[in-house]
Amino acid sequence: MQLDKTQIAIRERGLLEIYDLALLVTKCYWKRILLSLAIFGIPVSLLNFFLLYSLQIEVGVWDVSAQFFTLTVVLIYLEAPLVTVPLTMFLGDALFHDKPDWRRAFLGFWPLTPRVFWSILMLRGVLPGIALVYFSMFEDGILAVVFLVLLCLYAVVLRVVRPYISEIVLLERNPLRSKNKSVITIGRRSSALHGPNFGDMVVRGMASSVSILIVLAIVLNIWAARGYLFGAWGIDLWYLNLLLPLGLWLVVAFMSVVRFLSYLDLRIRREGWEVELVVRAEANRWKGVLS
Amino acid sequence: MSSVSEPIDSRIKVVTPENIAFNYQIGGPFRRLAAFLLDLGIRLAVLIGLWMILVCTGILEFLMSILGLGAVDFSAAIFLLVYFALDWFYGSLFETYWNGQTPGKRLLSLRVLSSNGEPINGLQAFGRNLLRYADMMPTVPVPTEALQMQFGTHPILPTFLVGLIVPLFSKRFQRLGDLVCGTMVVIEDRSWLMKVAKVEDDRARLLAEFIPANYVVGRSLSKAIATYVERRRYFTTARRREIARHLAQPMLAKFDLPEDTSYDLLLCAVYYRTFLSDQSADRTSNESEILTNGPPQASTNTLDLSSFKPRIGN
Repeated sequence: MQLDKTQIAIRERGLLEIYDLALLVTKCYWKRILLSLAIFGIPVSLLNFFLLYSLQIEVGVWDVSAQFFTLTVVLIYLEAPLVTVPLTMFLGDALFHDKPDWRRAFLGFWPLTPRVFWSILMLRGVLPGIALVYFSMFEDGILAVVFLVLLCLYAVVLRVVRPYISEIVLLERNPLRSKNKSVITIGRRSSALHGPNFGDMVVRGMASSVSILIVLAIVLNIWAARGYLFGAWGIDLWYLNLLLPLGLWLVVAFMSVVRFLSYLDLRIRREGWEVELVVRAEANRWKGVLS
Repeated sequence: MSSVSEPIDSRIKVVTPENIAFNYQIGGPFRRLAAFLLDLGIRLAVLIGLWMILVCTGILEFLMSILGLGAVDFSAAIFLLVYFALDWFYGSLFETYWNGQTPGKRLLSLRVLSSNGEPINGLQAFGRNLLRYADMMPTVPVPTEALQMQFGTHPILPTFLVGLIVPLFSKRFQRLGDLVCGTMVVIEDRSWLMKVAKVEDDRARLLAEFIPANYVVGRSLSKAIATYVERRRYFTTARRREIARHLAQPMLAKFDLPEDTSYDLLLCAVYYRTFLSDQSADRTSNESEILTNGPPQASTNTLDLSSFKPRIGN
């Protein structure tokens, strides 16, 4: 690994350039991106299938189909931080290596699990969201629905103002807490990185709403393709259980690549990360010469 | 997955027929979509503006009375004519006469060029704008019962999926129109090249005298140090120390300098020795006695550097 020979060109970029670069990165690593998405994506999709099972009997009814559709979108939105954990780790490895390696990418993941559980599964609302969807399936689940709406609002705000928690936990590997004030914990690093860039975070958060357009384009195209090819213009179980989640997960994967590149960009602008890479690479060469 | 030797980037090299190589940054689908939306907004504004002028000045009423048409028919005819003219000729005329730019592209620093880097001609501009409709495909009917009842049919929506996917198969992010007409869209780079950074801290110049005279800074090291010194003014003091530490620690050992020497200052001193030692920071001649004669005890390397602290600023 040579720190100044990254597989993605490192420099300051504008927001639109990051989205365009994400297309190139997705094109280059598309197989591995899909594989890393499938690691958690398939089990989570199965879980969603069972969570929404009670609605499937009445899917032909318009209201029930709409409810199924909405809950699928909500679940996938809330579960995205969990499902993209392997993808983030893969991208972290792929950045520095000509030939990305799964084993190397996930090396050291096990000690991170408590941090992942707390910072991603709990604080980002993944597990509470799944629990609330489960309780909302009951007949007297109106309270769960109210809390689910509140949780979605919380998740939206958190993802706008603290978008790079996953990258900090998985790539920086800072400890969860420390009594020593000089130790950079996840919270301290997050505050140092996100806090001074609040305005920028809000703008980028608003820009990420482009994902809604991409979702619409994909979901509508899948729907229309079935209609044109097979005359199936209705919304049936195949569409709701397979094609819709597939389209949504594809957009989640793309937006995760965008988030990863935005994180690198923020570190470049905020911390001069590209300078650090060049200096550290040169220091490594120096050490080699001196030894 | 693919193994890549060159880093993934949106910059490409174009060699012109005159055998001159240019590095261009290619405009991708998202940037171009933003430019398209701006142009669409401008076209709509022109359409509404023209309509208001026709109504407010009474021209519309006058024309209707001459031609003997009803208000709805005449309005629809005018609307369709203006819309047709704007939609078909806005892009091609602007790109022809504004050297590959429309107002939206200009606002986003985009320019259309031929694939060999030359300016586009009118035929290319017209062709690529004509094929824009292919990039809007596929169109899908909006699946809304209420709209169907309102309009009697499903309204059709363009999804631009072809415009998003086709450029992925081209190194230059070329959409269908670009591929057919041999054009590409580049981002005009208006960034300024960094000048040699000034080292205003006299202590860095002093410290430079303690670097052994026979020490030659290699190419990659000089590049690394230049990268650091040119950017350091944007970093906090703590961050400077954190970055500079990696190189400064082995340097201090090699140059036999005190361990508490400021890391930041040492890199500035090496930078000064490498790039600026024949001139002072303010570009005047080096007449200062201390700079001319060197430190009083240069031979023993015993200057007390413990009080050196990096200054904010460059």
